[in-house]
Amino acid sequence: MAILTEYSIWLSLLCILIGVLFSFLLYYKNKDIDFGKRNLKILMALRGLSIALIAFLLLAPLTKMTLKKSEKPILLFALDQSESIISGADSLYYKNEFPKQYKSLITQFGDKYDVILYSIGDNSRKVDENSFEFSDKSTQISDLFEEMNTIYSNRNVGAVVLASDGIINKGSNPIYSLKQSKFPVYTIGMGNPDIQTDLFIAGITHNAQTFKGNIFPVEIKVAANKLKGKTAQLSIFQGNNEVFSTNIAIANNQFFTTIKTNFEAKSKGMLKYRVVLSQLDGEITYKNNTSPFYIEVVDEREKIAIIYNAPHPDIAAIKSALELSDKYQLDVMSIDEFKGSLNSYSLVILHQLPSLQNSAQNLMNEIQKTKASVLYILGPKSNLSIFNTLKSGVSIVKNKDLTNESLPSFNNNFISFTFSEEAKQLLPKLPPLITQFGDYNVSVGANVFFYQKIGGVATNYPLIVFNDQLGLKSGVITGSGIWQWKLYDHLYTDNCDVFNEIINKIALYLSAKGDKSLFRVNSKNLYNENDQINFNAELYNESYELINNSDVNMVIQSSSGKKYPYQFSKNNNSYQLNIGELPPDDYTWIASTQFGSKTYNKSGAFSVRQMMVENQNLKANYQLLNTISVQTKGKFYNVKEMSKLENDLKSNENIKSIATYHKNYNMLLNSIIYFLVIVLLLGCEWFIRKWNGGY
Amino acid sequence: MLNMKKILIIFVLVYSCSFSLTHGQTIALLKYRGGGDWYANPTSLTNLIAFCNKNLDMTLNPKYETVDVGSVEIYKYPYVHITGHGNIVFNNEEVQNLRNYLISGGFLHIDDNYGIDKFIRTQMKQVFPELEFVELPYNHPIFKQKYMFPNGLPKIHEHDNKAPQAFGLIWEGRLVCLYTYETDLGDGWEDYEVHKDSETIRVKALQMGANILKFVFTQ
Repeated sequence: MAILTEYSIWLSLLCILIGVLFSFLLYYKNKDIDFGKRNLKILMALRGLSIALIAFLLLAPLTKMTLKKSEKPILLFALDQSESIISGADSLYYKNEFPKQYKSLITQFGDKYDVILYSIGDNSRKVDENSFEFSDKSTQISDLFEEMNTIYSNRNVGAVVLASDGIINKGSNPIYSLKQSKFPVYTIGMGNPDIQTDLFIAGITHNAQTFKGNIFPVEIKVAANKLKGKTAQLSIFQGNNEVFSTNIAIANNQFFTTIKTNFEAKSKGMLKYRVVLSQLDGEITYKNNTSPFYIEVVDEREKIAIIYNAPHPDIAAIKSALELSDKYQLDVMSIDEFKGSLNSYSLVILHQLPSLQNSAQNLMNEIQKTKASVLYILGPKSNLSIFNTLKSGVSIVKNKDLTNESLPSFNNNFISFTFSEEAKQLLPKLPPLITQFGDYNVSVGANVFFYQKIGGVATNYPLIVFNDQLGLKSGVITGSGIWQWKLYDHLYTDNCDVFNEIINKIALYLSAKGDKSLFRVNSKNLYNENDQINFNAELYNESYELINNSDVNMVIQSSSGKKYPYQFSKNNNSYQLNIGELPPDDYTWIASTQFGSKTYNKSGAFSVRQMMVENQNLKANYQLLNTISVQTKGKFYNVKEMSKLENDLKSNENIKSIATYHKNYNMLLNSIIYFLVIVLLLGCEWFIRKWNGGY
Repeated sequence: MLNMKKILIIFVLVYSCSFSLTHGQTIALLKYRGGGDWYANPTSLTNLIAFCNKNLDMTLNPKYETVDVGSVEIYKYPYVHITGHGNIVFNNEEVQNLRNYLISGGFLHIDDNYGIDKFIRTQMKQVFPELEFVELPYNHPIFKQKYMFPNGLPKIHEHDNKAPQAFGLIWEGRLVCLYTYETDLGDGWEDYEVHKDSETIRVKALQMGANILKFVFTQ
């Protein structure tokens, strides 16, 4: 322990001097009262000490303590829990032998290491004990490394041991997230790296939605390995009816073909199709010979117009997201190309319009006349003084010509539509939009979807906000640059699903005819089997105020008639229900509640789709695992030589305990002891003086 | 007093300019390895940006950036540009990065500065082995955006007496890469002093460039 001050330590001598001087002046020069020689010395000492101490404390002295802490090396074992591990010929080995070997490997690192277990698959998660079910429906590795780089970056991680087949089908390429990794990754190759005899559906491409009466195209990618000369049959069923069939002659040993066909959307609702390939002899698995696909058929095609002040990449990005659904007819034009009339558009997206150069008076009149919903996207060219008169739900008082970089932050009270967990997780990683610097006024009743987070600080300024004025819906994205969300979504997840979800949900919400009922239930109608199934519900009183005094019950029924009862939980002023995962099937639901004397019912249907990605590719990717190990100076092992890992890890000299020294500083002033000492010193002095007749 | 006012105006101008920079989108020049002159035509993108901001009311950052093929920074730009006369080499990492960027929604414009053809074609084959460059016909929308080019690409710089051609790589229905061959648009975008191209030719080149950007941003 050492004592130091911000000032020179020699000043403490001055403190002693001040103490001596003080007591000298008081007692030596002052001879009014005779305390006696012995008492005088004591009094002088007491006064001198207390003054010196006070003076010393004025220097704001600190104590410094150095603490030594030793941290054992962390060994992080991550095990792939995905289905592909047990889809091969050696599935029995992975169910029976492997768990024993893996557990015994881990027990070798008892005392000297800090062993942490992880499971990877649908997501990476810390576990107390690994399960060996191998039931995850997808595989991602990148999120494991991202977690390593953030949570464990300051810890003494000796090594990461990753046991996987290297077949990834979710997240980004793990090599990207490895670049900042500071510790070696040892990899254990599971599964089978050889090309397996297999006929499989490699992918199905189709629109998610279409409209009644439309002929829609479907493309099925079929692949076959080591089956040259055989003929396979591909059939497509709708319900039990075969609606398409063709023969495929497999021309070579690494065969790939695309089968295209068209179907007519005859009826409204969710249409379920099943693609079935015939089973050929010697195939490693038949699981990937069949795959379902769903297409939602809506009543009629809706028209959406995108009208812009100037070309901007936002427009191409938004267009690409809306084009995924065949139910929209999109017209994209600049304000100069606008012909003067808008015919039956259910949504008009205005990019930086009205603008500083163009007040777009005609267009605005036409929108008002046709009662189309509007989505405003604001930017530096937006004319805010006109915009503020449009009753969009937000008005902005411009503060100079400055801009902010605003990150999206989800409003947890938002209920107008559901928003997936994946999207909520990705949201904080997305780049900022450029917004106007100023004061934002959100009108009463407007519904904020995302708030602006500026410079790390959450604000109550809206980034995306909706307004419903007597059935006329509008939305505002208060910044431009949303095109970057699409690119970064792809960078982090290898697809643009989150961006597409954001844009399509906004469009769907705004273009939907206003729901006037007092009891509303929001849900998706198609889930993957590893998705969390969520419902939101809203109950309004006669004056359209949200209430949630009554309970809301729901009964979900599977296609075989099995019923699952649930009750919604209350959330602020609405309702929420998360029922977790359900097995693949078609379900119907009925939600009901009572308010006053009235009973309200809502019903609907949704399907849970079987996830096929884990069965599509069964050739273990040892090359990826090897690259991961080479890049991080680890080592790759085939699962059969897993036991060698013990020696290699134990003999790696870089994996060792490290001692860290922590310096602890404490202000002396913070300690009450010094205060008590001063009180005691002065108290004694006072007492002695009183005792001797002084005052 | 007059002086004071002048200073104030200049101050306000500089002030507002420096902040308008943050408004817009930045486009970038791609810096590749292999020895070719990726830095040819240094003034061309700057002039194209100024032209688009003035005539199409766009909000592009007046300054373009330079970005490496393998850099993740590439995701910041909605449009990247390749020029040069010589050799181009992409390694595996660069191939993967460029492919992911283009699939995710990015755009690459390759402008043949004469001599780039044999190099860029082999490299782009690595990036998209499954795609072929297809020639864009004269009725392709890229030729009738803000400005009309009924006969396709304008000829800017005569070199080999070949007709200019526009090729594209089309990924899932979206043009992800445009290759303008035997026209030398970038030459016409440069300052007058550099190549002494006539004003008519330079305007044609800039108009075609503006068409490309408008198409890319709204396709």
